Amino acid sequence: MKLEINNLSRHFGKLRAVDDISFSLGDGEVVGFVGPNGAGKTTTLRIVATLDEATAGDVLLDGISLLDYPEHARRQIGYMPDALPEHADMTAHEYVDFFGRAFGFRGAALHEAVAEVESFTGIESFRDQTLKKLSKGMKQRVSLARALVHRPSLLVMDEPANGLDPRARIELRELVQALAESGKAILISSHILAELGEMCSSVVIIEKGRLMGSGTVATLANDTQDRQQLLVRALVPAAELLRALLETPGVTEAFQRNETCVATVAAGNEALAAILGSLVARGLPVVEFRPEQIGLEQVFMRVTRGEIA
Amino acid sequence: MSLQINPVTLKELRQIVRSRIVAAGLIGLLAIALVAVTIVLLNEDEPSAVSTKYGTTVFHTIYILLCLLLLFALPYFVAIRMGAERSNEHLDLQFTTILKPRQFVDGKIAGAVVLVIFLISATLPFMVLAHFLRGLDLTAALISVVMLTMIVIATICAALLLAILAPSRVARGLLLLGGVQALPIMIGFTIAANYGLVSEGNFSLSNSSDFIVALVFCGIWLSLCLILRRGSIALISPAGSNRGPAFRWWVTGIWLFWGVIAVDYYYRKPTGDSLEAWGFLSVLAFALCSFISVALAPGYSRRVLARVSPHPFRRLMQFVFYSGAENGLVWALIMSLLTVIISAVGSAAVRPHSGFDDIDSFTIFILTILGYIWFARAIWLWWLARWISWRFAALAAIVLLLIGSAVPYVIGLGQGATGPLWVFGNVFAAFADDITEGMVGGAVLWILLALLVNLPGLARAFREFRPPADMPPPPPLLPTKTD
Repeated sequence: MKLEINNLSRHFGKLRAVDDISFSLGDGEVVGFVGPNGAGKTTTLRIVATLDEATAGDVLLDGISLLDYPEHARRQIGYMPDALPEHADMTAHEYVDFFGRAFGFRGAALHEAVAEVESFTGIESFRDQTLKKLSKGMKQRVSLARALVHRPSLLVMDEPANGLDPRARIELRELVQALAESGKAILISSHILAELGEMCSSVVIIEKGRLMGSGTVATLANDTQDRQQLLVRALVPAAELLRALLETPGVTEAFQRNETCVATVAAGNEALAAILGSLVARGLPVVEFRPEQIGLEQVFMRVTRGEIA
Repeated sequence: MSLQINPVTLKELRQIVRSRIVAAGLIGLLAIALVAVTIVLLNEDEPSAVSTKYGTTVFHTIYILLCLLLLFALPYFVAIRMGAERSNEHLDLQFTTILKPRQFVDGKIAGAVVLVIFLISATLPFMVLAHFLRGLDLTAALISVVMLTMIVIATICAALLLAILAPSRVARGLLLLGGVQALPIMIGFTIAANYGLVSEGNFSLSNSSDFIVALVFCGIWLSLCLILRRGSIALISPAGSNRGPAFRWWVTGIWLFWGVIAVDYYYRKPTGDSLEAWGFLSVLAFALCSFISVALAPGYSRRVLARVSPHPFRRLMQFVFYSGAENGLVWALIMSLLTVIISAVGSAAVRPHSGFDDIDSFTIFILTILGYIWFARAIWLWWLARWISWRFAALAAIVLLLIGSAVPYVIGLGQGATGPLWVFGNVFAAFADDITEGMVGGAVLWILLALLVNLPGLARAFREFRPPADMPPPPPLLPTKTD
């Protein structure tokens, strides 16, 4: 399965909710879809889920346009919105069962599909409770079960961790990882960037409907900075190491943090290699030399502030 | 059985079983029925009436309660439930499945019908009591209950359509108020019909004219339900899909069916008003369709264009029936003109020397209304589109219609009520006592003007209405993984 979003735009009058964005994902990939409120995330996900139409561009699932032939895609896509209906007159099991039927399952196949998905998402223990009585975490599990009941190859999740407590978030993360390992492609939007960074193989960042960056967090971190922080430790006093660093070409500034020195250097591996060579040439016994890891949160802040330019 | 049943019906039934509102409604109905029947029987002070009247009295009491519940509370219950499901987290999710809009609407209607049957059957003990008390014509009572059921089903179909049609809470609120006005009239009619059937005994299926009346009633009921159902399906379908053809073919078919019956009846009984009635109801329906069409988005989705034939004649035919604002307006205009022509020709052929004021009347009526709708489309296209959404073009048409019909009254003060200024663009001219040929000519001129200002928009719509060059053929549907 391969999902390709090509030059997708969605305009509401003068508002460009989504403006010419492109990215793709395949089997087993978990792509985080990140952006501030009103960036166009939900609109994009709704178009992918065949619930909305694009103004321009296309969404292809294995080369077939979802916009032209949405009926073709619905069997392949599981959509999990950020909210679940609060029926006071419908149990979790009946809800999942209804969607199983709505996807054409009947008889033994239906019972098997519903039981399988209830077991996977862990809703068996509260399957006979009405939806209104469920906690937020339970509802998200039911919502996930509903989205998975027809065994889709692509799962589209809109803010699944929204309002969840830490335990529920960890459980959700584990479910997403298990789904990715089973070969499903997952497109997931969230505000919880730290968790997305851990879950996703790559991220897509949008702001005001425009694509600001896409790729792995490491790639984006490299692409979005002209300076990086370098952590260096050697078997010499930290003050001596600091002095050496400040005298090394390519180091713009440095400071001491306990036994380690932190230096600001140019981005890219070439700069790191040159500095390491220079320190070794000076006879310093370097035991630790690594660039400081940048998380998705920092990348997001940089990208959405326009530092990419 | 649950294997074959529509999933939406099954869901509705499961929800109905658990619904506290339904439980409260049922218990309330039975409790009120018990109290009401007891009071009615205790207040009956003529002992001699026991053998002749008690059964009818009890039946009427139960019937009135059923009318209030089924014709007032139930349509609101259905409409509110439907309205609530129009939100993203409800209906949209169902649209990510392979359920068709038809299955959705049918499931909703079927669920409501089961509820109607359930509530009526709950009152059976009281009806049996009415039968044992004597004085009740069982056949008439049965016909009356069947009639009530049919009216309730039509009302449910209308409630569903209106709930789907209303785009916002404000619109739903207005419809709610409209229902408060309209439903009591319906209830009054049904109760009066029941009284006529059961107490007066003025209906018998063995009487041929009564039988025809029953047939016509059933035909009108079926036509209305089918049109409302098709309208709901069209409105609930995704905006990008080709929603027009099914609905317009159905309406055209029903229009044709009743047209043939009306013409035939008119030839058999020239003194009757069958042709006028058919014509007037038809143009009313087409005016309503035009109001809906004018509020559609400009342009065509790729899904609609994918079905357009490259063959010029087929493309022209498709233009009339396919989804699209201009398409709907053209279809309604053509159908209205056909209605007027058939009515006029039919009337002239049967009664050549009599005037056909009624036909003149609805000719002026429909042409004036359609003119305003077309003007509204042109004004929206060339001016209002910068500020307001196409959804409000229908509102603009209504405002234009009201202003345009009020202005002639103001201008015409002191000039005589049928002067040229009073007639031109005035929908109320259709109801004047002395309609002249000049007035009909004025209405024709009015619609021609409206068409003239819309020519660029129409030409653009027709230019856009062509199959896309880069459209790939439809892929085969993947099988559902059900085994």
